[in-house]
Amino acid sequence: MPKSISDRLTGLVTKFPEAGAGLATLVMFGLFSWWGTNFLTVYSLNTMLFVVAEWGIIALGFTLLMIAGEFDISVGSVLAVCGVLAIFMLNAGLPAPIAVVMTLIIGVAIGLLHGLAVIKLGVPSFIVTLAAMLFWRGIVLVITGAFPVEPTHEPAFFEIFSYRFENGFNVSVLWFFGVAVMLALILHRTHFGNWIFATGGNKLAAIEAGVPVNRVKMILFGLTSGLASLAGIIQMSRFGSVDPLRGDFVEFKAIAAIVVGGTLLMGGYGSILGTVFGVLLIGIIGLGLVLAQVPSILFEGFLGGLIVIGVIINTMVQRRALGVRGE
Amino acid sequence: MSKSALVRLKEFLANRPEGGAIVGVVALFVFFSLGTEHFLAVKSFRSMLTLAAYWGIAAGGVTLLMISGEFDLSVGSMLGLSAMGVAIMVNAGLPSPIAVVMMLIVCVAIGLLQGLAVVKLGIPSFIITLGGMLLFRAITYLIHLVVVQGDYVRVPQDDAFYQILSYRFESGFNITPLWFLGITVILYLILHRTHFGNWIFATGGNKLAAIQSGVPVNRVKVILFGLTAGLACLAGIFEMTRFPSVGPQGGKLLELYLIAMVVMGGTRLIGGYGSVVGTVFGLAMMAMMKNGLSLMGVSAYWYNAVVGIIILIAVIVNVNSQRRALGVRHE
Repeated sequence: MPKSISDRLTGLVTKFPEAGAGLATLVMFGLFSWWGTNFLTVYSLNTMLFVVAEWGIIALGFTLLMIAGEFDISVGSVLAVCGVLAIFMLNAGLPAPIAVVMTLIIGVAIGLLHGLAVIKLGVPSFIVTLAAMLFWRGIVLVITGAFPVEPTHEPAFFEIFSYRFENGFNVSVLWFFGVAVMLALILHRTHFGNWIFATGGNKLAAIEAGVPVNRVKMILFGLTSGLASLAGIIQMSRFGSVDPLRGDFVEFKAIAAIVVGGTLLMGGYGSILGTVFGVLLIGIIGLGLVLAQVPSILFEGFLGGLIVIGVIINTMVQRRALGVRGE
Repeated sequence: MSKSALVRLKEFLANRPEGGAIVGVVALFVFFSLGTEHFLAVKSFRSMLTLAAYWGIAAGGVTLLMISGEFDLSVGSMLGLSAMGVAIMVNAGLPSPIAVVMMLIVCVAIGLLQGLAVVKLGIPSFIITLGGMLLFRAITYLIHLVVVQGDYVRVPQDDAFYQILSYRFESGFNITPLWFLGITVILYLILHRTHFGNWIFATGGNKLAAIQSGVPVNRVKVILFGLTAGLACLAGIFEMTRFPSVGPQGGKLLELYLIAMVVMGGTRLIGGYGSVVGTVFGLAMMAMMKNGLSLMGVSAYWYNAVVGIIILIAVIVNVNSQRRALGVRHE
């Protein structure tokens, strides 16, 4: 019996959770290219790319964490803390490479701390990272006294993270795609990636099958915060300073991108490629809105609408594809 | 063999969801009382009471919803939207009681819609209400821009209807806490003395078992979403009546603090276990922290950090004492 179009589409989406997001990205890109002025220039596209690359890197790590069934809404605050610490280390005379490595280590350590609280103390990750978000933001405010912080000199080393070419392209975009490829490989080509899916899909079954779920989660918490600190370094390199509100709202953008990209909130199902599409989609819409001179507050609203529509579509399609996932 | 009073107290606290919160309230109270003599002043209680009342009206709804196993992150934005909406409607000439009722209807409708999206379309409440949070905030700003060109909207302080909601006695005390008390009592009664309350616990505790027992889980959830939205709207209106003017940023990020307060009060994030009384204690802790820290001269920058830690400690205490009381509820 010939398959209907909807069956084929459903089959496609089952195998490729990112299909919906990819399609949406293409559609929006086409729409804005045709409708918006200045949208299709190399410069504006490059600008959009590196702006989303910074929080996009966080979204990538967060994707893996979400597939494993956990949350981390403190990433924005960790970004800020690490950016500030990096600058302090520079000002204290540390050579740039060392400052960067130490900042990354601190970022990972912060993540491991969160993971410990979740696993050992049994507190839901949402609450731990909510408290952490407040805590680290508070630390940033205390350390900086609510003023932007600048390094006394900016070593050329940081250009590795954020060098801007004349056509607007920024090296940070390469970091984004590099991390994306690496994480995608880990997710789909290693045992560890398997473990991530297992942990999120059915934790008890995973434990029975011998998956070290706690270790998996700890590593992913560390990874997510580590990537947040990387993003903090990249942002610092771009701006040449860190202000106390840096990274605000990043966690929501990340969640939006991840969810639009097809990853399920309850874990066990998701894709890095989907997140990449989600990030690009948000970037495209943001660029289009800015060029159309829409007031920026509406961007939040669009984001909200996007999240809702994206999730509705994804959930409905996935439900049909996977059979009702025991609701 | 008779148990000592201390052991009995410990058992009493451990077996109730509010146990940890009670300890927390006492501890913070003692701490701040020792920290500064201003804490015990009438003024300080008054401001804590007003704060808690305004948060508390919205928190009650969030509590019931969480017990049933769902979240609502759009509470803060709905609060802001209601405040702005009613103020604008009244300025446009609508009598205040009508404006308030209309806003309530709109908010409850939105809440019901969100609930329907959750139960019918199977979308996690976290996401739907996250989207709602962003959407409603943007709508609030949009209305603000378009209708009043970004100016602050004036709220007449002598409006008779507003007085019912927020009358200020000569001693400086506000009538709002009484509303909060009344609403909390009603919610408590619903939760512990009606079938519906039973259904709420059942839905959150074990949805499949509840369905098999004949509990209309979907209807319960949708009703609670509507209720939460309505209470958020009410809280926004109360807040609006307190000040001579209102802007579009009311309630920003409040929902996160509300969740923290509810969880601090002993309600579990996964649902099925919780208490409105506990939420009241959670509110008390937050209000004490906000008031006490600033009275003690602690820099405002430390506020976030301290609150974060206290939330964490409170939840750790709750989770661990509940675990022992309930037997490990396989995470």
